[in-house]
Amino acid sequence: MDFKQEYIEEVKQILKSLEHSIMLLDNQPNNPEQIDNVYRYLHTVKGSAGMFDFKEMERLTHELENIYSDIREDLRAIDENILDLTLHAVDVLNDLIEENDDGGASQQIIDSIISLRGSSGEIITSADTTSSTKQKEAYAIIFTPTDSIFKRGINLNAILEDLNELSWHEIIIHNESIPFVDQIKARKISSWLEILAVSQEGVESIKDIFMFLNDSDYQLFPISNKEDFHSEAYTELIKLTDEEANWRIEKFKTFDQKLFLKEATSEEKPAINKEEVLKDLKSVVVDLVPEEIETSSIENKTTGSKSKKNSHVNVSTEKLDGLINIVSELVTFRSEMQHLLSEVEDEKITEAVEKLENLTLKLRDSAFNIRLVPINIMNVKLQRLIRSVSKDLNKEIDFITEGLDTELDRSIITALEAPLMHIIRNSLDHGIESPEERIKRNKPAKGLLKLYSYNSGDHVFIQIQDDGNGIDFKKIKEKAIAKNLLSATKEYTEKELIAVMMSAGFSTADSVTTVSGRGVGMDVVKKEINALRGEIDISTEEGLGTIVTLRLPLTLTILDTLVVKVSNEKYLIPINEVEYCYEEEHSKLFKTNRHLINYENSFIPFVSLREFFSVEEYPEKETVIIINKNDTRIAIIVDDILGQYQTVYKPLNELIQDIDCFSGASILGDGSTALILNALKLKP
Amino acid sequence: MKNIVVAEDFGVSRKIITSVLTKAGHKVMEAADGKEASMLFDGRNVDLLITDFNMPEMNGAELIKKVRASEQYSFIPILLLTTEVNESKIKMALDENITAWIKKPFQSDEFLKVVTKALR
Repeated sequence: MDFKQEYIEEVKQILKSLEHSIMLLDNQPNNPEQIDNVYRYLHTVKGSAGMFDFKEMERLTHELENIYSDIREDLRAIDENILDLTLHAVDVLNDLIEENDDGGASQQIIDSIISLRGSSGEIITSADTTSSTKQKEAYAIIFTPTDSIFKRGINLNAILEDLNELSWHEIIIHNESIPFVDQIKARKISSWLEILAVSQEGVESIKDIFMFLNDSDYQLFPISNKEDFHSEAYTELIKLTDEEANWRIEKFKTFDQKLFLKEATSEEKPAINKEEVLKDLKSVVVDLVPEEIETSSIENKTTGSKSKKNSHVNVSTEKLDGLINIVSELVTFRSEMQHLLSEVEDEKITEAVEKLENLTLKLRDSAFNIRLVPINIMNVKLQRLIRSVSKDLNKEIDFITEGLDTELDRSIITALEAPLMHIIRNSLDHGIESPEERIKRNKPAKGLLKLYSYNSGDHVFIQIQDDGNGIDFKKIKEKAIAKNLLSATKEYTEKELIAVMMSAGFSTADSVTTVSGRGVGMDVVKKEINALRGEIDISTEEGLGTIVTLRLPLTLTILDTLVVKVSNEKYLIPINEVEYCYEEEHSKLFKTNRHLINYENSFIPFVSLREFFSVEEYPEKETVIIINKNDTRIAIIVDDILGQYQTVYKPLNELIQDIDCFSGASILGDGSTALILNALKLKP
Repeated sequence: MKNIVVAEDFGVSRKIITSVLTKAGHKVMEAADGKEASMLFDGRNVDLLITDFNMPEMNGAELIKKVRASEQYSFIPILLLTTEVNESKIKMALDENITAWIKKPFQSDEFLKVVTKALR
């Protein structure tokens, strides 16, 4: 999809949200949040329309934005007529973006908006009289932006847009040999601006707009009469003829005739006749009615061609998630069917069920496929990162990839990008040595960085391997001790030290030390990976290199589980964690209270779920399930195994999220719910 | 919600900034020195950098230079926290391509106002 198409899709989405906000406003006219939303949507559409040459769209949204700007500033009350007008404008905008409008309808509606604004520009509802007691003050601003403002990260467009928050303004662009928008786009400014502005909020409101600019970038002049344009300071910047000064004063007066009359307080203004205004508004809407019919007929005419144009369907992730949800429920239902019909011996039914099963699985696979993308889509980004980082560090790197056609859920890939880049950067920065150092150590001058990926079960593994110096555990320990994370007197295994390295206090501690370990920001990475229900593991060999292994679920929703029974409850254990199951007599297990069993010639701890959940009675024959997760073994004692279910993973609600012995929940075929056990967190 | 990197070696100060920004609905990534902060930029789409001037490993000026050097962040808004009262030094820092400086200590509402403005 090219940029323009992407833009069009995006605008359509925004217009939908805009419509939605208008509908909400219809019920609740004074909802400030929705008014802000409407303003923001209009603003976004306007801001981007120019870039893709949708001139009409830009004009229309600009006019509408003015209306909502007034509403935001309490200069105008929102009413049904404005909402109608906006809804109509949304339709026209939809046509404009499809290029179904020759500009006729949009011109008409722009005129209506302008006349609405003009005829009722001074509407102030009774509730807002307090703000109207503030004096309208006129200012002229000479704004001479230089290119340096871009380097400073100042958004020139935002400044110009912020001017809309004033009561009124007019920009005069001087020296515009290149269109000003193009100058901004190219970040090369040759023009300078003279801005006439009216504010009711005092001079501070204008200074706020130019908050980040230096005094040399702009100058502010209060204007109370024509002579102010001839003042010495003003003349120094721009010398105006009498005629030009007059023209500026007249411009101000187009906004408010009484602007330069002394003591033009709101009390002296004639009271606004609400009824008259309403009549004005009504007439605008009456004008609109035939138009509405017209545009809708245009729409009907063009629906045929519209669908032809888009061979590319852009589905919102929400819809996709909906589909996946239904498919997942179907998968659960299939499991139930299979269960129910396991005792039926009718061949025809068995055959039909098998067919259903096949189709369900196919449906599931293709539904998930929609979301799956190869890891390869990150490759270019990673290569660019490696190129720039190795250049920065004066290191030479061979980057080798393998298995990048492995597919993962798109949302996982997106979320994976940052941590992966972080890991690679760590490897290049702290792992791989400088070429001189490497030659000294009998290694090739070029460092090796390998990224490979493969599927295993329902998990995807991504490994990043470097042939650098490995992790310096001594340094890690020193740093951890310095930060009070470890005790200086105890011995620690490498596994424990790696765990410390990835803990939150390690890299972002308050004390300042000169020792820089390998774990820069690894806590952030770990958190990001864990949020994907993934795991990170690091293995290292001093002097030889480091391997970081990421283990990620293929999708976030489907899980193969073993259903076990404990008393009257059912629990689920992810099947890939189950290593072995067998039956054992209760008395034998609890002969001693050490809670250990002998399995494959080693003692492993066990947790009896009955004991864990404080169910006092025990069955005579218990079932032992050996769990093996990341090479850590634990045994779980349950009453019985009920079977194997493919279940839909549902995250826990936030109230019980902190209970870490459950990783989620699921709905079983019979409609009952069961919790998914996180075996390693069960404390014996 | 915007992604904001906060680089500040003084823990309490960093926590305060983080809590103010988090309450305002932003996602904050904290770093205790310039080097750590610079690592948080890759692939994360950072919208704003708020950095201290005096930090270990890599000071604020070096961090800013590094961030600006990448194409993606050439024009990102950057706010510099400083206790420096010396006007000329601040002037210099301003010219060095930052959006604005914030003098410590600051009032949280004023701070948020500047942040919101910078994120526009």
